Amino acid sequence: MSAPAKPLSALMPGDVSDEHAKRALLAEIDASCRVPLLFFFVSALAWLLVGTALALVSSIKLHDPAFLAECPWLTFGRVRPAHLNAVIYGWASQTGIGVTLWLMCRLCRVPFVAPGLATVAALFWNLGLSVGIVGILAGDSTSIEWLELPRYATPILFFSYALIAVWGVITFRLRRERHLYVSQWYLLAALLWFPWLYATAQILLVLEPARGVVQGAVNWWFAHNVLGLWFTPIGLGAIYYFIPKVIGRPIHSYYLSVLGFWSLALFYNWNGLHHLIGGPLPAWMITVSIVASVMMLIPVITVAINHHFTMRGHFGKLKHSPTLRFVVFGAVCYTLTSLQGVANSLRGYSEIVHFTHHTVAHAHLGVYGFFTMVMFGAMYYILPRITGREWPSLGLVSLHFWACAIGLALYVGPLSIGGILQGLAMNDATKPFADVVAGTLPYLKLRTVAGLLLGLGHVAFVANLVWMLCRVFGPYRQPVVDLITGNESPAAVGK
Amino acid sequence: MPVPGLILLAGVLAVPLAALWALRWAASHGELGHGDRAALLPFDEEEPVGTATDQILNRPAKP
Amino acid sequence: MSAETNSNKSGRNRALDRGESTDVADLHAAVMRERPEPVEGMEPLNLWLVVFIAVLLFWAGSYLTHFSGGFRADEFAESQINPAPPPSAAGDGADDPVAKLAREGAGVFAANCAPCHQADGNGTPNLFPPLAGSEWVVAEGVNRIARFVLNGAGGPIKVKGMDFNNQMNGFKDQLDDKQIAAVLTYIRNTWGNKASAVKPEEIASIRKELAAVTTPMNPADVEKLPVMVGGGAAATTAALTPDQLKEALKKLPADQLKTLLQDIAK
Repeated sequence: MSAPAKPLSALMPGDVSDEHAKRALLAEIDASCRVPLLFFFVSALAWLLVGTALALVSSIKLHDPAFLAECPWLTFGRVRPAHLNAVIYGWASQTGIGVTLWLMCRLCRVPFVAPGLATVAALFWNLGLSVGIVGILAGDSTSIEWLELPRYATPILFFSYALIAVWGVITFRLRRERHLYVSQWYLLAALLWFPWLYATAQILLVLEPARGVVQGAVNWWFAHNVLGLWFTPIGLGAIYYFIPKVIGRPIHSYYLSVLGFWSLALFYNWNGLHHLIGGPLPAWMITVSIVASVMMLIPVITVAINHHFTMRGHFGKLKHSPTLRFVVFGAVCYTLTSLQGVANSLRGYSEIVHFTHHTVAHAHLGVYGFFTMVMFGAMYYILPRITGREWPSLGLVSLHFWACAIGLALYVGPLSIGGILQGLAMNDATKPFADVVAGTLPYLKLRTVAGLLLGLGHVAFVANLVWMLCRVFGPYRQPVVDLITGNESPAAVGK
Repeated sequence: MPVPGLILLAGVLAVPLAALWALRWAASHGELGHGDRAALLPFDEEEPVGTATDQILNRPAKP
Repeated sequence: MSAETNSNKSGRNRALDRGESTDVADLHAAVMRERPEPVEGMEPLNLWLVVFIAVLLFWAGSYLTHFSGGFRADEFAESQINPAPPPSAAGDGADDPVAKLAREGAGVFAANCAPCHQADGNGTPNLFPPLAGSEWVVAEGVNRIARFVLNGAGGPIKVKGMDFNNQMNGFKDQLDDKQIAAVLTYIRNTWGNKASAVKPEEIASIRKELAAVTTPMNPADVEKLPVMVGGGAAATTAALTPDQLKEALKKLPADQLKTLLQDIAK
């Protein structure tokens, strides 16, 4: 047994040389992640359901304004920011943190350090967010986009985040693998970028508000960078790990990975101000932002080439692996949404699509099509490993994927086109505004249908997970299907 | 200068400096080269190169 | 083989979940399969990618030079290729003043006038008179049309041979002299119209005349007023060169010229 394993050991330099010790270590890593990761994932999914419900309410209100109009807590001005904050900080950030923690443990080859610390962090994160979302619905929103959480909620979130960042640094310092994988670059950078963004925006907008156009500039610098320097690196870090891992083939070109990471780090931070094209800012600020947005073509195309060539010849595996399906779907959406973003940042195009539903479709292609789908894929991979249980229903897995994939296509496609038509109509001074609004109705109704489909997918996923977790707490049973080969597990057959 | 201003200034200086330091660290520790070694990091003996994992849907017939 | 299995079991029950192959041939086959493939993770950068990045960087430099307004803090015009000189040095007619005023007026028009008179200036038949080609608009002076803008209009009016009878609101309280001058310059120089630019001072003088009037102007009354602001050509002398003044005086009917000269003599 040890003979064929040797060539692989040679490819795998590290401090841990003994093969059995390595096996034990991997088992230890996965087992040590169990409590904190389950906490993060389960609460993230709870927020996903809450966020989906809030999204549906706001979507219905856009074509049926009388819907739930009597309740002040559920007016559009409160439900929409509540939806945004629930999915950004509740779902996306928490699941992103969970995936980050697992990947860091795996790639640093150390068991989860101080799981209690991370669990406390997760507890406080959910506490702070619950206070914040209730605050928004009660009317305490700061009314600053992406920072609506009232000021009494943010310190709790910040405290929780500090624990997570400390955890990340400790794990990194204790790593047993000297060499860093590209995913670690992305994840560590994200862990450091996010507190910088959040603290700067909080200080300049909420605690000691800057005056005048600086507010707009800081607001969009923050909002865009939450996508670009927090979600994007986590999503890309996960893609860089899971595609090679699932298909069993190293990444096409590691040099492209390095180029992709550093060009993202150099250019993304400048992008936010393209949201203010036509705004009262000095022209050079907008121009620099547009240039940086177009420069994003470098990391995007680099990453796209790298992932495509890694997948080449292995697309057949999409049929068999839920993780690969979701992750590759997300990778494709990353390319699409980035190219769309470059187009949106150009002055001529922005004049049409700005202030239309096109922007909404674009945001969902990014946060949902790319990030959320990648996170689903990662969770399909991680959860069986940390719980030691297989997914109970493969039918629900398929339902989840197709409901989300079709739902997203139905969401983004028509709304993007509808947004362009809306923008063209709004720029036509001879068209009464009310007619323009009425013209968007079919697309808005279609969006509600798409939202229902996405919700169906989420319910399928949560049902599958609950089913799986009930088994965890029940008597131990061998999984029926082998996690790697998909064949009947030899152990299960043996019994 | 008020405290928030100091924090902002420190952040604006610290982030690019940290990035430069990280780039230098990466260059001096061989992180920018040795792509062949780094690309193998997701793999281990249990799930080595050449073995597809997570093949649970539409299970292929055992050869 | 059995020793291997034993060590797994003692080490961890779940090691088998992961289905690590216990078959030597299987594992070997996997490694053999990898050999014919190129060395992974070492693909060099594509040449065309390098070229693409170079082209992008070139574009970035050129775009920055053209649209950054000279990196000035007070330059907001995004498409300004050559940034405007600082305000202190401006005002020597670098830009065509009529065009500049008309540009400003376009915004005022879109916000205040276009709903009725339409963006194409053709109005709505039977309801709102056209501005494009309207004799009221392109008259030599704005003494009449400016009164409608200031106080509004009410009563029958004939425009381009068509009769209208509708109410128009005045914009005395919404628009200042400069805005009204700008919008009048705009409508007098758009849709094929061609007439002189309007000065804010002209509007100011009419506004003073109408200070006490609160009702909309009756077109029939307005039509009796002189076309030029201030009752005749004389009022505009300040803005005219001596040659232009001579031309303007020549155009006046003999009796008016006589009265005018008598006035000046006084």
